[in-house]
Amino acid sequence: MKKMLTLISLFFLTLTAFAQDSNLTIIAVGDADQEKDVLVFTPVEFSDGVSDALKRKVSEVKEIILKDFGFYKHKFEIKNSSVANSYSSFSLEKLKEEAPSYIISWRFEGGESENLKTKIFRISDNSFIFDGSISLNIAGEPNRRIAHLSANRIYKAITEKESIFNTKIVFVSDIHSTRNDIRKELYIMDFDGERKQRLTFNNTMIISPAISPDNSKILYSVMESRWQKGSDGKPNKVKNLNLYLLDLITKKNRVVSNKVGINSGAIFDHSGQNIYLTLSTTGNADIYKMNLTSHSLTKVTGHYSDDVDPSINQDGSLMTFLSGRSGRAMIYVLDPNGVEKNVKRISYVGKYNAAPRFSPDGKEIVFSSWVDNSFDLYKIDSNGTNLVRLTKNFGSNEEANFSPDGEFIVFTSQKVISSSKALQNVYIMNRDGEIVAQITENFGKSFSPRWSN
Amino acid sequence: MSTSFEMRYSNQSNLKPYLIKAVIFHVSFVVLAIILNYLFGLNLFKFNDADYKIEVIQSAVRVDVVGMPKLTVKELKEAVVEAPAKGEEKATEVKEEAPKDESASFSSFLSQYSKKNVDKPKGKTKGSENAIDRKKLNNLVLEGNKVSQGTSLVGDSLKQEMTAYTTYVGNLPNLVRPNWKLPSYLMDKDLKCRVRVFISKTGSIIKTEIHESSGTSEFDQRALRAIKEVGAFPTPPNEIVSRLAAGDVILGFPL
Repeated sequence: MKKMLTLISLFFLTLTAFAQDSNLTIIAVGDADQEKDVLVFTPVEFSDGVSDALKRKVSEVKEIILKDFGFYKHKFEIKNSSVANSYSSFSLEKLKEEAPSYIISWRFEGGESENLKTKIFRISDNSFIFDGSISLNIAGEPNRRIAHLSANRIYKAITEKESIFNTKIVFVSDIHSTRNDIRKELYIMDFDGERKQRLTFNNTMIISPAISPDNSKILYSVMESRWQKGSDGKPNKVKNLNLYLLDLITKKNRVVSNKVGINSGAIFDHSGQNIYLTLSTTGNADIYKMNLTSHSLTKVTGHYSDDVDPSINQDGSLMTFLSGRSGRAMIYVLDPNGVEKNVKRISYVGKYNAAPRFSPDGKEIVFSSWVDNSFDLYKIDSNGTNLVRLTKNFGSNEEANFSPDGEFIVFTSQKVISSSKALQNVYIMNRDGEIVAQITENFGKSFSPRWSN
Repeated sequence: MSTSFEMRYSNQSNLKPYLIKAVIFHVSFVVLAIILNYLFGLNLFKFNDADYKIEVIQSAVRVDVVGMPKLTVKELKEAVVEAPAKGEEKATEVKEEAPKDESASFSSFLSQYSKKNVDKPKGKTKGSENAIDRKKLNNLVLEGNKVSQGTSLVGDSLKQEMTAYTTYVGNLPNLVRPNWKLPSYLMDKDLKCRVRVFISKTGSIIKTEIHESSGTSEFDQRALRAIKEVGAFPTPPNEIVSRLAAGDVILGFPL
C-alpha cells in the first residue's frame, strides 16, 4: 500500500514538473536597419537591325533609369555591369562577382513598337520577379518620361511600393523679375529638376502653393491691390493676399477666397473637396475649413493669437499648425474636426519656428527654426518626442515638404554670396538629412517647393 | 470510536483493487494524451507565454530638451561607437581607452560643441556601475540638452528596478542591433520573431532557439545571424549566471 501511494505521488510529481515556474525576460532589439540591395544592371541586348540612332536612344533611357535609382542610394547599391548576358538564357555565374541581390536584364527589339523588354531576377529565392516591356515609341512622350515610367516599374517590382520617379515638384521662382519689377511665378518640374514648365503668367507675386491629392489642381496666394475706404472716407489702395485655384487640365484660374486681409497658407484635405486656409478677415489670423464648391466656412482654431500654416495628415484626423499663443511661434497639433479640439503643444524650444509639415504617414513633422542667424530644418515626432536636427552649415533652409513615399524631403536653401547677392535653390535630402541633389540652378531664386502626390 | 477505527482499517484491503484501477485509468489517460498530441500535433504540452512569468525590458535614455539640438542626425550616427565584436575583449579595450578623469572627458566633450565656457567639476563624478556603455551615452549628448541615464523612455513610463540582471540584459540589444539588418522586401512587413538565448558564465552563447517564429524563415534566420555575429556577450556577474544559462533571456525582433 505504501509503495503504491509512493509510486502515485512520484508519477504526479513528474507531471507537475512540466508546469514549473520560469522567469523569462523579453528584451526588444528594435527595428532592423535596411540592408542595401545590390542592383546589377546588365548591358542592353539588341535585336538584329537596330539602328545606331535607336541604340543611342535606348542608352539615354537606361542612363536616366540609373540616375533615378541614384536618388535611393541609401537603399540600393547600383552596379552598371559590362558583362554581357543573354536575355533569354540567363547566366548567373558570370555575374557572381558583383554579389547581386537583383539582376536587371534588358533586350531592345526594334520595329514598329520599339519595345524595351526588362526582366528582374532575385537572387535570394532564384526567381524572376518581373518580366515586362515598355514601348519607347509612345507618341508624344519624351525619353525622360518613358525612362521614369520604366524605372518606377523596376522599383515597384523590387520593393512593392511606388517610387518618386513619376512625381513632380511645384515651386515658385522669380526668374522673370527685373530690378524694378519683382515677379514670382509658379513652375512645375520633374522630381529630378528636369523639364521645368511655367504654370502662371500673373506678372505678380505668388506664394504658398499646394497640390491637390489627385495632382490636377494647385492652390496659391497672390499679393494684389484692392480699393478700400479709409477712415477719412476716401478710397485707398491696399494690399490683399488672395487665394486662387489653378486647374492643370483646363489651365484656368479662379478666385477661391478674397476676403479682406490674408487668404493664404491653403492646403487640400485628403478628399480634395475641402481646403484648410488662414484667414484674417476678423482681424485675427485663424485657420478655417472651406468647401471648394459651396465656399462654406468652418472655424478650426479660435485662439486670440495668430494661428497659421496648417498641414494635415493623410486621413484628416490630425492637423499641425503654427501659433503664437505661447508668446513665441511654436508648433501645435489638433483634431481639425472641431474648433480648438484637442490642441496639444509640440515644440517648446526654438526662437522662431515655421512651416510645420506632416510626413505621409503622419508620424513625423518637419519644420524650420531660426538658430544662429539662419533657418535650419528639424524633425519631431507628432507626439512631441524625438526632436532631431536635419541641416547645419548649409545656408538658410526653409519650407520643407516630404515626398509621397516619405523617403525624401524637398526644401529651399539660401546661400549668401555677398552683401548684395544671394542664391536660393531647391534641394532634396533623404529623411535623415543627407543631401541627395540640388534640383534647381540658374533659375532665379527658387522657393516654396511642394511635392506632388 | 475504536469500532469505526477498526472498521476503517479492516476495509483497507478492499480498497486496493480500486486504487489499482484508478492508477491504471490515470496512466492510460496520460498515455492517450501523449499519443494524440503526437499524432494530431495538438501541442497539448507546449507552454505559452502565459505559463511563464515574463517581464519586458527596454533600455532607456532620458533626454531633457532645453534647447534646439546642435548635432544633426548624420553627426549623431557618426558619433555612435561601434558595437563590440567580442564582448569581453572589447570591454577591456573600452577600459583602456577611457580617460583617467571621467568628469573631464564628459565636460570636454560638451565644451567641444558649446560656445559657452563649461566649468569643469571639482571632484570626480561618481560613475555609474551598470553595464551601459558610458562612451555611447556620452556621444548621445546634444548640446543644450542634459542626458541622464534613466529607467524610462521619453514619453513612456516603464518602471524597472535596476538590478544586475536588468542592467546586463538591457545592454544586449546594443550589441545585437548593429548586426540586425533586413533586405528591402522584408522591411515594413510587420514581422516579429523572438529568440531564446542561453548564455554561459563567460558570456559565450551556448545556444539559441526560435521561441516565436515570424512565419518567414529568412526573417528568423537573419535574427539568429544577428545574435551569432556578436560572437560573445560580456562576462555576466556571478549572481545572474544561472538565469542566463537557463535561457531566461528572449530577444525580440523587434519586440
